[in-house]
Amino acid sequence: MIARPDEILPLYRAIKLVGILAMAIFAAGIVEFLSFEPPGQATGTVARVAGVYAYDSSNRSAGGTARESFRRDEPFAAVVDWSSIPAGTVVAARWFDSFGEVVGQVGPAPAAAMPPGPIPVALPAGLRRNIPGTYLFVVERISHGQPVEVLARRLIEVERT
Amino acid sequence: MSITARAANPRHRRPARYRLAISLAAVLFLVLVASSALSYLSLDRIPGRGALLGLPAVALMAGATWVGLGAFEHNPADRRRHRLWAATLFALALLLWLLLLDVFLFTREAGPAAAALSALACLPTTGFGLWVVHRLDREEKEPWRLVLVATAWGAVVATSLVIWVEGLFQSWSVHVLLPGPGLDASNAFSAGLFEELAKGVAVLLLYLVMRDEFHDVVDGIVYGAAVGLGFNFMETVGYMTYLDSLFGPYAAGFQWYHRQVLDLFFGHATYTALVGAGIGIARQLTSRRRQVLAIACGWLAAIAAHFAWDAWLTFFPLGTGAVTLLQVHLRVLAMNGPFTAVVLVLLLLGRRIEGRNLERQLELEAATGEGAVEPAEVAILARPERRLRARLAAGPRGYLPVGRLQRAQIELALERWHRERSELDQPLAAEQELREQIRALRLSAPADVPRAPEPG
Repeated sequence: MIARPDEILPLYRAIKLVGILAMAIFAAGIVEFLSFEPPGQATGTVARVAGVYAYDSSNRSAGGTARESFRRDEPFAAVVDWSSIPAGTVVAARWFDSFGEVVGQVGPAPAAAMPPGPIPVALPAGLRRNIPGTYLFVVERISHGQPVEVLARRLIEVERT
Repeated sequence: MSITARAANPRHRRPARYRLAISLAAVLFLVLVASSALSYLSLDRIPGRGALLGLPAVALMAGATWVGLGAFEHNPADRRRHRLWAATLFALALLLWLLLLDVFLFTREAGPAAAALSALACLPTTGFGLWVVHRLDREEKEPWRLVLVATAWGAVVATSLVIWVEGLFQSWSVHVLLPGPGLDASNAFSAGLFEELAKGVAVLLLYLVMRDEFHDVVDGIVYGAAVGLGFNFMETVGYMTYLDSLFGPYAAGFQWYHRQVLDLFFGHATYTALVGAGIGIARQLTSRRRQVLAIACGWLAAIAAHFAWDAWLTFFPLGTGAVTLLQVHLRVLAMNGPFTAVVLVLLLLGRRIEGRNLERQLELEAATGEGAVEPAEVAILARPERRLRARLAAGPRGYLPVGRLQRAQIELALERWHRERSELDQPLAAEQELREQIRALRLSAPADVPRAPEPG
């Protein structure tokens, strides 16, 4: 007598196939991660961020004391000491809001050519106040047009009320 | 007629799956306690507004303690009943407390009025989703109480489990990684991993504890999708209130449309249905290695589907103007559609196997002459539409009794199927009890339902 094949086996094979597809997606994710987060890029360079200050957009200046949190209706900007980075290093500085959107940027350019003024956070289109949450400011080293290393990082809280 | 009280795969002790379920529940409880403590410490406004749900939770805890203490003083029959009540009250108290924390965590941005309106807007859509999911199993529908428990787990327990762990992961990643696609990919992986683990545990616990109501891949998909719909409900309320506080009601309305209409079956429901499919397939495999592999593959698929949506959404940028609306729909179809299609294929395969075996087992049962299923009933019981016609033909008074009779007969056929495949750890006497129940139901059904001759 020939034993009847288990009728659940096609389902088992199907779920295994789906598992293999999942592994392929993870592999693609790892490739993506490594291409945007390339290993072996650490140079040990550290950029000095003087601080994050209240920003006056009318005369494009930052003032007051360095702070870590701001109200929603308070513009703010970061000040970077570009001389703390080797002059030929290509760098950029960017602000990200709590949704991960770029809301301010200077560069990329060699550190010696970076503008010395404050780097402000721009209001998203259609809004009169900043979005609340954690804002991220980074100074990045650029290689072949792509950020490869964070030279300085600041987290700023925009209050919800 | 002889009854042999022997299981198809007899075990002398309580099945190991109960021990696994208890260990899993204990770990989850500790995680929830830690999450609850963190929430309490970080939310300074809980004492003022907490009375709404906090006091009933305290009252339920007091009730659980009182009933639980009563269990020590009564005879064995009452003791079991008291323990069950105490456990139920305790679970309700825990759910209320978690709901309280969720309400504060997800809705504090816009205040209770916006949160209540958002929740009200999501109730009909989530209810419709549950109704559809419940109807997926055409042969033997899952009990509503278990489907709703699964939904409540997704809405309250799973969301509580992931809040802090995802928060901690994102806090770590933002301090270490380069902002951009790499960071997005790592956060997407965190969301996929932790959220699917938190949701899938509910399906795993149902599989371990409620084996009688967890028959195959179809049931796994139903329970999984129900958990996903619950999670989607709470997440939508959270996003709607947050966006309402930032951009106003139009943004909240769009969020409602995207999550509760467009993505209702494509997002979380599909992801957790994949977990359920893996567990449902494992339910019918005999080799332990294959069981573990099937569960792992289902879970990996869910994590991968969730990861792909979160990480690669930016590869489908939206334009401006009228075409944006079309793009939003196409994006969901292109990114989540393939995974939903996989769930549908597994569902259809599972339904075909289930239907074929039910018919065969009904024929075998009818051939025994025990009277639980008569030969003339097999053709009716084997097709959902014919079962419906038979219920309608019984008239308003006969509809429900005939429905109960049909359910018991289907249950018997499923029991026979599992016994044939050595998938049961209940004694054979349980099957005989089902036959007795069917005879009793047949007597209470209308006279025109065919009656079996009395055995013996």
